[in-house]
Amino acid sequence: MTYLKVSSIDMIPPESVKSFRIDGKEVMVINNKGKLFCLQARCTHAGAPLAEGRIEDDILTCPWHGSKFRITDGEVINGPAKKGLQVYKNIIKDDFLYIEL
Amino acid sequence: MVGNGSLAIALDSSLRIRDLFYPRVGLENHVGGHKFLLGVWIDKLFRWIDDDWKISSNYLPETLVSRCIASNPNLKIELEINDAVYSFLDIYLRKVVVRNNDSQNHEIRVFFSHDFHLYGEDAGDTAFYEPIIKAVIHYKRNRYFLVNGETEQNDGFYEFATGQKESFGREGTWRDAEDGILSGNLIAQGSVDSTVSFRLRMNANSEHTIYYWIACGKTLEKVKELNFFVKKTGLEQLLLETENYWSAWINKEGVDLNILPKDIRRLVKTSLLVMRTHVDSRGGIIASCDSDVLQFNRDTYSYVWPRDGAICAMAFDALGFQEVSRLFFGFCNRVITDEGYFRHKYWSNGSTGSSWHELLGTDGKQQLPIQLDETALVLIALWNHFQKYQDLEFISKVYPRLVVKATEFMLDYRDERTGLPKPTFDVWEERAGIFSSTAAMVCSALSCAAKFAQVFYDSERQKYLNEVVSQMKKAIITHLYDDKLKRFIKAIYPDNSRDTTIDSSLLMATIYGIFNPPNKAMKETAEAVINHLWLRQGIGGLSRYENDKYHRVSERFQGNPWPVCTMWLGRWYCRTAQSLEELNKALDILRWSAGISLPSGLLAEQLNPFDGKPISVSPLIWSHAEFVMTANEYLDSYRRLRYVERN
Repeated sequence: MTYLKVSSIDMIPPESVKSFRIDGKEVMVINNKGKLFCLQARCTHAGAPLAEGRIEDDILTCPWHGSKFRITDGEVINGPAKKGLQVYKNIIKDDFLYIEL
Repeated sequence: MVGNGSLAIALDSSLRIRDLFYPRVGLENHVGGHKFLLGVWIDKLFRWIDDDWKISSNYLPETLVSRCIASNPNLKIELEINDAVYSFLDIYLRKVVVRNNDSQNHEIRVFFSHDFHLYGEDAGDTAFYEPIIKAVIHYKRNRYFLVNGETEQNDGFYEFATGQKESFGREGTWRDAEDGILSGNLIAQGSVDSTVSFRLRMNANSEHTIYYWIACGKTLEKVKELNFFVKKTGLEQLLLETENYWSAWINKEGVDLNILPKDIRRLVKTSLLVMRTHVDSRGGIIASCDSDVLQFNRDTYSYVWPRDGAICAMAFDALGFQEVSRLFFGFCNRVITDEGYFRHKYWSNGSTGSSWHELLGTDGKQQLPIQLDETALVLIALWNHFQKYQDLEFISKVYPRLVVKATEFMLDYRDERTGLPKPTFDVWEERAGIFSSTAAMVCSALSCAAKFAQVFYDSERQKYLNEVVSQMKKAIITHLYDDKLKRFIKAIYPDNSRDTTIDSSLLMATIYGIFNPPNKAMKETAEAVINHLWLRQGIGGLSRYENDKYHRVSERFQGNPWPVCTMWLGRWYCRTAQSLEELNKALDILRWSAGISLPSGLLAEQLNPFDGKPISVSPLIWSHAEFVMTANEYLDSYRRLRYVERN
């Protein structure tokens, strides 16, 4: 596994969600109260763009059909999605975010 | 707006279908502004969904699938509605989740009425009930529309009615619905409508789903086949496929929008999707599907203006949707006249659209009823397209007509004395004259033609065209720049009178014209435009020109703010910013645009200067295209300036 550069961290200010295409995969980066979480960007139910969803506390709600996921570990809290989100390890180096793919 | 390139449907703020174009976007409107009502009957109380309801309309993010909520606290009922046109076949899909928010059980009936005017006419239609497939079908000549649906429990219609309307004192079957019961009349011909109902027996605080669809085809067999397909596949699955199709379409690898704030990023994507619904499968891009303006002049914006289409094509190209712009250039290649110019506007099948441009000028002399900037802009858009995609094989197919013929026409259509283009109508379609903005765009188009000549190693032609460009540029400054006013004037008319009105279209001389990068004369002109046309009160934004009376709301302002003109100013700021701080002015314009868009993301032609409510058509595709172009220019400028400031 290798770490791939995603973005400079100033592109992901607190309380923002951005999605990036890294090595053919869509990855979502969430800055929740200053902490970065990197997860797969598409809902496991029907492929909705999760970066357009709503985040309350650490729960992300899918913008299409309302599935709820915990952003810390990608687990499904509420359906219709049955499968959790892939979570990617990340590091920050020289003000850039890298994720392990 | 929902659509797939051959079926396009516009709904209003009360969730009623108002326009249905099939099989060509912008050509045959089978509803024509009439209303397909949606109503609810609950315990003998009937309500059409209208102003009494609290209604929100939006799209599911990154799709052309709607999410609308209509709630009525008095009835303690809520409807959540998804509308879509299936991406791959001509079927309108509607999913209605009905929520009984009361603590008591209720029988609820939901009504859908259909006020078709097939081929845009009310006479000669038939509506009938088909007992084998239990559907209602409207038809005339080669157009068939099959209405069907089912509830979650696989029940079809509860009741139905077909009947006559708009004649002999008959209002239509929608009136029959208001007692909660439909007559069951099996067939009606002439000027007809139909209404169907679904019955739900709902427990307290529960929800049920209705699936409803309209299959569109040219034969009875075709619509029956589509109906079978929906029943077999399930409407839920078709909605999912449509959501995924558009999400994949909008997220193709192209421009990284992450620099933009979320609301602007979202509006860029919505704009591209809404623009896509206005593109006919054979390339015509219509200005607007909204037929609300029909009531003013018995005509619509459902035409292809080469100007609007060219700017849309530039926006599609800028964000990587080259296949859509190529479709448009193919359309242009088919419709350009043998003489090498575009007419005022076209139907989406390429036939000439209606026009108000006279063939005789105020001086009694013959004039061409065209707007020459439309020809120029298509050539400019084609060059932009080629610069980005280098698709020489495609260009070679359209080069003889779209480039050579158009160029020859623009060369011929010059005043020998001044070297300027001869009079044509302006971008606002109001008067014939020699307009600074048109002249600058023609000059820019000839410059693009010179670059095309270079691509094809025609060095003599390239040299000649560059000479003409140089002469025309000088002529524009000589004749259309006013030394005393220190800015470009709007126009010179055939009687040699000079129009010094300050007009925002002068910014087009930089945005699309030859004065890019802007020179001193352009900077002075832009300053005058900003000083005189920016609304310092009300919602802000830029008016078209001084004393603009078109739909004018208040004389306190020079005119209503137009998103198109405001976006030109945003693009002006992008081109002239020398620092990231200066570039913030362009970001402010983008934020303003996001602020004045409807909750669904639609941008109107113009706005009420006091409250920002849309005036005239909404959406106007030109507004969306200029917004996309502004966002794209902002991104380019941001990257350039950030690089400069970091190094």
